[in-house]
Amino acid sequence: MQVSDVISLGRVKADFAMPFNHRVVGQHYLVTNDLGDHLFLTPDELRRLSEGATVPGDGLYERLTAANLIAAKVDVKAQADRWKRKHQYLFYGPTLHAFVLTHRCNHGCQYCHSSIVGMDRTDTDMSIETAERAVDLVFQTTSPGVNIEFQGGEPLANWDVLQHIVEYARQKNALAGKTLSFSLVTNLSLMDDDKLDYLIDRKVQLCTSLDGPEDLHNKIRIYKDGNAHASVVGWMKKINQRYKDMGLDPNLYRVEALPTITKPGLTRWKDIVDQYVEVGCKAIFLRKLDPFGFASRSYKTLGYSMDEFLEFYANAAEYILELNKNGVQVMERHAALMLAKILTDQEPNYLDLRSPGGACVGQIGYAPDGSIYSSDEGRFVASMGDEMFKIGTVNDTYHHLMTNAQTRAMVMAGLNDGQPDCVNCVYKPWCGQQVEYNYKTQGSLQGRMRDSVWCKKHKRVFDWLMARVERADPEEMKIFERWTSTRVLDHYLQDRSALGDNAE
Amino acid sequence: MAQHTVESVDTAAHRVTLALEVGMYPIEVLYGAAYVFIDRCFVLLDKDEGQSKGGRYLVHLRGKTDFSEKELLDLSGEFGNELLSQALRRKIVKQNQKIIEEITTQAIAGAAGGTLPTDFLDSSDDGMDFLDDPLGIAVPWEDKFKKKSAEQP
Repeated sequence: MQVSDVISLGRVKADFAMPFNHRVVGQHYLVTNDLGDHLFLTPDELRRLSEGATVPGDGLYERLTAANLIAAKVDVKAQADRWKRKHQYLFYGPTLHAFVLTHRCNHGCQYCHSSIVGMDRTDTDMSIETAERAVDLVFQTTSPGVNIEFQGGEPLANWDVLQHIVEYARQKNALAGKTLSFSLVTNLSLMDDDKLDYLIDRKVQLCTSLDGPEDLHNKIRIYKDGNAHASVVGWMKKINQRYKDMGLDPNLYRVEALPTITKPGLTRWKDIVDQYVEVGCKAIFLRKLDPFGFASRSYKTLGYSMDEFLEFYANAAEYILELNKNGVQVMERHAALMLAKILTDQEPNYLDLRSPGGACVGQIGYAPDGSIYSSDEGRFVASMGDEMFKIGTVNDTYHHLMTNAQTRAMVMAGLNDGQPDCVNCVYKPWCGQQVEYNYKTQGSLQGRMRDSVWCKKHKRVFDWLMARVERADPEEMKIFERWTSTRVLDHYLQDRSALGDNAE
Repeated sequence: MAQHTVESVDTAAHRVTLALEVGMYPIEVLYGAAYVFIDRCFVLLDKDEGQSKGGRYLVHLRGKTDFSEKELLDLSGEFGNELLSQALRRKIVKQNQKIIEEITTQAIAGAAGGTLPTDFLDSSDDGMDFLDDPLGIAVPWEDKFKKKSAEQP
């Protein structure tokens, strides 16, 4: 289907339609505007839109009007307000604050994105003094909501500092009154009952890595002190049971897990999804191997082409859809985030799918030595010996971190409006870039989207999703709509008046 | 002349040399594209005055590691792609300058709390385009030198 067969430039009525982009999806042209409205049009309908050959009462006119594609029918004030709502993230600072508590780890995962060291290297732990300075910065964000995410290495290895941060942040929040939450990204191998009691009592959300069935998980996530898979699955089930015993809805409250897809997993899409369902997960985020850390070195054995990944993705996502039709409630998280943007007016503020991207103004990363990076990925680049994304230290002022030259450069580079390809892409209103990924893979903050793996992945996942939406039957649409419904996980939010035990 | 041509490939030295006509791309685009390669290559920019009317830029890329002939040719192809990408982005950024500046300003102001340095984004009221070059920083020294030489009696 050539667009030149459909649109004749000589007959285009330039002032009729709102600016739009288009792309062939299935049997239709997918058309979007900058507000994120979309329509599937037949070639003849696209021709009529371009020529203004539609009138009230012919059906097409009404569909185009509802999708804000007829310039004269757009309520500019209402749509400007809507644009502002959907870009609310432009009006406040970073919400995600990733604290790397230590570089120590007891696993030797072949694709690890962080720079990890042995368990005896306590010199790589974050100190209490650094932690407090970092928390002080966190509470200067203009964001009304704050999530402090503990990472590593294995963050449980620096348990005392983790606890101190929780107590200190709760204490500070008694005055700040922000919507505060904590999350812990852990391999769970250092978990014990006392730690779990504390984490549950302090409402720290738990997230882990699970790469699939035992053989697959243990092949990649090497744990010399035991069976990594047995450890993680055992704790996941135990923690999920604790939530259930507390009367929390198991559909909402459970350990979140992420798989990293490696070459050995490409043909195991069914096994991976089944494993997630078996441990009670309601969401699975099919995450591609990133080019950071060890993954960049082990890419020859673990890596794969984007086509291979996308074949895997489509197989797994179709299987997940099939499971839903059979009454098993599980979603693919990436698809769900995209669908929320496509089918609703929600903005999930997923940092990889927004413009500008999340670097600096959506998230920041705090290293154990007090260095501050644009993001988690920024510190991954640093772990490879390149401090490109260091925006300061805990001794800097928050204002400096948010306004310095690097931050400004990253924000500007991360805008779709300045990118060739993106400006003409039908997925522009729903998509975004990651400057760290651009830099690592193509050498500049802007990258080149036309031959960017990042762009290819997002475009093709959007393609798969929109093709499924285009031909979805009512049952499938109901499933997609269910995936977009978000419920606030109130239980994990700290009581705004809560004081830590050490508060005076 | 094509966008750029491969002038020579020296597999023993892991070096490829490209040539492009002066005027095909703004000099900033050449600098921007060359910069992207400095982690993989030693980059030398040169100028050949002889062959064509305005002269040619020569870009020497020498691999920091061993590069095969195919890899050197791929490198030159990638350089061409990067030139085009930088040139197009420059144009798009100029076209969308207003919206890019407004969104960036809002994002930073939103994050920083609404108070920005007075020189933020260099958008003081000097009536200048951000691509303007009043000090001639982007003018190649060859052009400056030529001009002065021509003025001398």
